[in-house]
Amino acid sequence: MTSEPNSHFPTTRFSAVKGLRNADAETRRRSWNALIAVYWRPSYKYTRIRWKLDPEQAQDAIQSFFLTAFEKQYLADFDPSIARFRTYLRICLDRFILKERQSSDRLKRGGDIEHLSLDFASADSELNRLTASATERPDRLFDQEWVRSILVLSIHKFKATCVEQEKEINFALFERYDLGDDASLTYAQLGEQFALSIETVTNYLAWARRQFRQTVLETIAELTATEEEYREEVLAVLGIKLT
Amino acid sequence: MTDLSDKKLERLRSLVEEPDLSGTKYRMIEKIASGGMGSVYLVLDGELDRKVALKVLTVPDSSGQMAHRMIREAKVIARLEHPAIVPIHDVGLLPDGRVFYIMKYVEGVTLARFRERHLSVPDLIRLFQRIVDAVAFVHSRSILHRDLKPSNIMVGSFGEVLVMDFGLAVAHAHKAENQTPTSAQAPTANLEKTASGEIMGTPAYMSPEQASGDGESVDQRSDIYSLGAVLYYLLTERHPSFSPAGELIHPRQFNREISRRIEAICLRCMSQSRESRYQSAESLARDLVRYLDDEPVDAYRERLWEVATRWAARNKVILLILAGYLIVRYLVFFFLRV
Repeated sequence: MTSEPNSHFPTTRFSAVKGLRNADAETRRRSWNALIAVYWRPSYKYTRIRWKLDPEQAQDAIQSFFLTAFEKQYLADFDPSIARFRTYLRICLDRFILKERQSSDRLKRGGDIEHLSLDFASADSELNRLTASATERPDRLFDQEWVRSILVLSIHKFKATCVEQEKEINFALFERYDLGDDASLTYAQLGEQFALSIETVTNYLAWARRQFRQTVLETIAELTATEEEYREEVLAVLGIKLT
Repeated sequence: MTDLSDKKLERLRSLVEEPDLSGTKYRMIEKIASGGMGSVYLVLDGELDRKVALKVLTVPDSSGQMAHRMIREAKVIARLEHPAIVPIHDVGLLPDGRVFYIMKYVEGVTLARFRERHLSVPDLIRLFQRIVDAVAFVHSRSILHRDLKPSNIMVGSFGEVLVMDFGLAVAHAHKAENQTPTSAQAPTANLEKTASGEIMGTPAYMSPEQASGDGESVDQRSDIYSLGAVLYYLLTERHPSFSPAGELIHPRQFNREISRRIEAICLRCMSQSRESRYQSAESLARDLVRYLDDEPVDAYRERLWEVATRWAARNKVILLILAGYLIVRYLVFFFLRV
């Protein structure tokens, strides 16, 4: 009943953080896109709260920050022995905004910068639903939003995996039962809705959760540079320590 | 799916945190408790088709120290076959690398919850007596519990007492049957500290020697102190309370219905000095039996009027017969004189 420890954790993995320093331009771009996918939303919300910027200013700040950071490659200077990448990125963002403020006294609407395609409207909508207590500590908000981003991204990746493996029904069950709003939904009701036996629902959901867990771990692995940082972030996101 | 509410986010986190039971004969039902070292889940043993409890490590453990402690806990429990100790069925590593063990699933409430029911003092003492008996058994197997407190004691649906959570338990040198240890010969245990140097245990229920980190001085009398603190809780519905000067506030100050004799038993257990406490759980159990039988207890020297009152309470029938006899004698004497 025992098995090899950690056999379900990623063994070989792509690290977007490491990829920022890769000599190959395509790898750098791929790494950059992976990081932006997770970090833009927490960064935007954090900027709105921490620096009290209006939506337009915050959108420009985030666009400028990520584009400048990519061009000048200053996130590539990250040293995993000093801090976690997400902490480093947040500090870089703070410095960037402070510098922008000092240089122009206020962040102006950028005219000539290339724009990333980011859904700021949905981020603003989520921000409006936050309670006052959730915004008291912007650094905590950033971390919480970072976790949310990882889980959302993992859901998308997991869905893609299910489609690829022709297991859409597994995802549909997972979406209905684990992501749905109906807390009273039972396996029996789910079985009726999908014309499956309770045993099949149980097995499909068990597979889905196991696969989703694996996807989350791979996503975290992408966003960290070292094994130690990976373990720390798994603890932060999932509350478990890899032994 | 970009809009993930806080509630769903927590649901997903707990989903991913759940132990990976793939490849095992267990199926997840639900999480039932979280402790300092791990979480406990209700799972179904698919082979035997019965519900069991699965405890899995959930705390940071880069050194492997906690995993080692959990395996040790499982081994300690396995040595304790007693109706008041929840039996362990299995121990191992989950596919995700975490240590787990399987124990009997007990339907019941913690002592803290059970105390909310309004029981008479004698009923509470009878309950406490069963806890002491269980601890005496543990000590007889050369084990110290070291974390006795209301939340680590359960009362089952049949009123049975169950001592739980042997995460801090340690084995000590075996002592001879019925031998009362002196301070020189009492078995001792090394105290463990967390990485931050914090002493393991629960302060309000911890003996002074355990709280000070003096591992050499921790022995079965340290568990006796904790038992006294549990009795304090049962009698007062409060954790042991201390004055600003550090003196224990006596239970009767919170509950005047408590007799001086049972208060004395509690205070003796909680003496600062190990030598002033009961020297074994058996001797505490004997004093509890004496208390319940309305006999003099070792912990309390009664005044003459208290002896008389207690004797009168125990011998109401004899007293009534005697009184009746005296009245008849008086009446006969009176009428004869008339």
